[in-house]
Amino acid sequence: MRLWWMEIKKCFTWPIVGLLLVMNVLLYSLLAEFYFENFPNGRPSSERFEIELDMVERYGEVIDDGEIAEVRREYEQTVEKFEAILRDHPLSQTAGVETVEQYREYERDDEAFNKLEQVFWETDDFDLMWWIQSYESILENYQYKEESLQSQHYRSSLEKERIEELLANESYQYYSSSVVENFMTIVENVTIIILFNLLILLSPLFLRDRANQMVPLQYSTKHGRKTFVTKWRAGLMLTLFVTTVLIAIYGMLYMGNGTSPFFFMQLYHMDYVNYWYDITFRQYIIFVIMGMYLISAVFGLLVMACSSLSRNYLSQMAAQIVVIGLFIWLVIPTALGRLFQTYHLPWVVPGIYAGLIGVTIVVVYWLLRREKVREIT
Amino acid sequence: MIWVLLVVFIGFNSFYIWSEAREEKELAILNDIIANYGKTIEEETLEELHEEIEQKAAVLGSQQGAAAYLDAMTSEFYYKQSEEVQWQIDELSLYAMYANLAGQLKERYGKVNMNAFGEDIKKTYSLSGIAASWMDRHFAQLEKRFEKYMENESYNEWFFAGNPYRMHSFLFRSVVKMVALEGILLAVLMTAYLTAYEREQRTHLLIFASKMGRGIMKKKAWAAGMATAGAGLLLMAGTFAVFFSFHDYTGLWGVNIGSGLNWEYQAPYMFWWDMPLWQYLLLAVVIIFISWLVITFATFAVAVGVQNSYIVSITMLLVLLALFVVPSYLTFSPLLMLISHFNLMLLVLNPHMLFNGLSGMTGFWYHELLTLSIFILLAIVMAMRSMKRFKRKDLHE
Repeated sequence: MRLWWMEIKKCFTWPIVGLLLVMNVLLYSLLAEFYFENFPNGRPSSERFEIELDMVERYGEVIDDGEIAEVRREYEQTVEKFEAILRDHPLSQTAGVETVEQYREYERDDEAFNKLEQVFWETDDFDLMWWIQSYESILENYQYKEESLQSQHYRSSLEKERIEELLANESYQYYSSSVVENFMTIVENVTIIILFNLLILLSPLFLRDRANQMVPLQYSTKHGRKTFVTKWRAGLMLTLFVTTVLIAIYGMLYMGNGTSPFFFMQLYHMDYVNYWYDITFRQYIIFVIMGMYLISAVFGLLVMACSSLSRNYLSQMAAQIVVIGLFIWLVIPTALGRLFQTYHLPWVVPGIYAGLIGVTIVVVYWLLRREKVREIT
Repeated sequence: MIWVLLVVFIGFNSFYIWSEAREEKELAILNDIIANYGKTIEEETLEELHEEIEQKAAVLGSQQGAAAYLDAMTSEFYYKQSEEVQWQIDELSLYAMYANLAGQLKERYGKVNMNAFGEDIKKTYSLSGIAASWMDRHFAQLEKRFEKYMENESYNEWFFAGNPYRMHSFLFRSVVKMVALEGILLAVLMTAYLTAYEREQRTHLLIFASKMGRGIMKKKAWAAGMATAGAGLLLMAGTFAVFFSFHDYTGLWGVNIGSGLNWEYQAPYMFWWDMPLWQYLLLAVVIIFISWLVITFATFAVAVGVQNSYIVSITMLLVLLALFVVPSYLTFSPLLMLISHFNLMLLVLNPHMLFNGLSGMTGFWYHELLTLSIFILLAIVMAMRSMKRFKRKDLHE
């Protein structure tokens, strides 16, 4: 137990801690910052998000015809407000623009109109135009809720069945998918950050002792070859620790996006992508976090396996570049980014997890057995 | 293990090129055009091309001419034809597209307003003071270049159509950039390994006590440089071999890279001088090789001081990453931002924007030369200083 604790402490040397800090700052600014600071991203989506927050509070996850009529009234009020401004504004009078349609369809070459548009851009009056656009996209989405589900093309008969099931249960999408999309991008990027942390922290675990020719010395102690197992346990503990800390930090940052009112909602109400199961956003988040833990555990064990096999840091780093490349381009987008999505058949993603875990168990088992009978060199 | 990594890199690049490869038959059409009508677009040859198009349309059995025939084309009609006829129709439409694009070039370039681009940049980066006047000077220079470009009608050359194919972006922005990044990884790993080898193998006390002594580090620097150059050469050769076997560039080597057809996005490419494609490719390769060597020597300088290949390679990769990230955080000071754009990583990671006047803050005349000189100097000074310190350092176990 004491050795185990020592091994954990040994991983945090000062240079490594310093490099980890610098790396996390850089990766945060490169991979994560944008999605926290720019959510909802862009002008009409931020208005739409505000309207939808309001709608969730008032109507809940399912919207019916009476409720959408209320939204339509709000939309009409906004249009009226905008048209009142248009009527009173001297510039729009000279340009001859009175209604929203006219404003939208007006010739781009008209000088009086261009002047008006520029003035509106610079003042808050133009904001109303964004609101109008957002309302329209919500209303349109509601109007074509059935058609958009029906017209989705399917890649397999199972997917077709799932779409039909959604149609039969009237599981339409009422809210825009920006919340789920933003969440998934953050999840994928945070997982990449976790993997880089594990890479740097765990690479020296076995390698350092071997490079310092400590192994024969360790073999002759009372603990003997069991040191190898202790190191595996320490590494696994570190993996869990790093993953938990980073998930906690980024989870707290994510709460700043203010999407918590959507947590209770069924996914099919808020994403145009279809999922195999009826789950709420909250449940989905829990599954995704479980996926993150599994992926980082597998990756951590693979890093340790490489560390116990390679003879110098060059081969260790080279192997790690290949492994992390595979994770970034193949494992994370499929196993995490499309978890439960009908993009893959329902057994594909669990199959990937099973395969990853299976390979890791076999490798670790082989390494543990090999250590027991290894020649002392 | 480096061999494995090299093979993996070349394999990955080949896979990427294969998965993104453009239709070979379609690209070949441009080679035919160049073979038949020469590499410059002239009014007579353009007319001949139009005639050929009409003939092709007549062969397909159209009465009203090619344009009407293509307009009336429906997908039902198209899919009813045999494969050979389908290809003939494709060919016709591609010929028509090229002829069309070539005819519009003069008008399209006539609408370009260089100063508007300059004002845009100043606005987006909110430049002021020295940085703004620097930018003004840059655009005054670029305006002159543009006038000359228009005068020579340099845009009148055949190139793969920028809009559907984006071959310039594909080759330089995707493939060459990937190669550059992979080369950086190889260079850093190998240099760190070589330089820290004696210490990590615990032979340093023996080696440094020999007649050659600590001077062996100098030899290691050259060895690391050669290793980088060798690995880089293999990586480039392998990747380019795959790329050019998928895409036929035979007729294009002499074509001006700033051709009007090579206009891919909103802004055209406005290179500082008219250069043929082979020259641009060569310059890009040379710049990337020099950057790799600069990185090699910088890694060497750090490794001589630290003597731990793991720490050194991670530090170097993080420093390079920081070089790439930092300019976007200097928005508070236009001058600092301007200076930070003389940046090795921005050079290496934008091989499609080299010598391009319209590449934001990195478009200045001599930008490439100046950046490389600064960083070569920096690497040499770093290497010399760390060698000097190393020669006086205490040796210990």
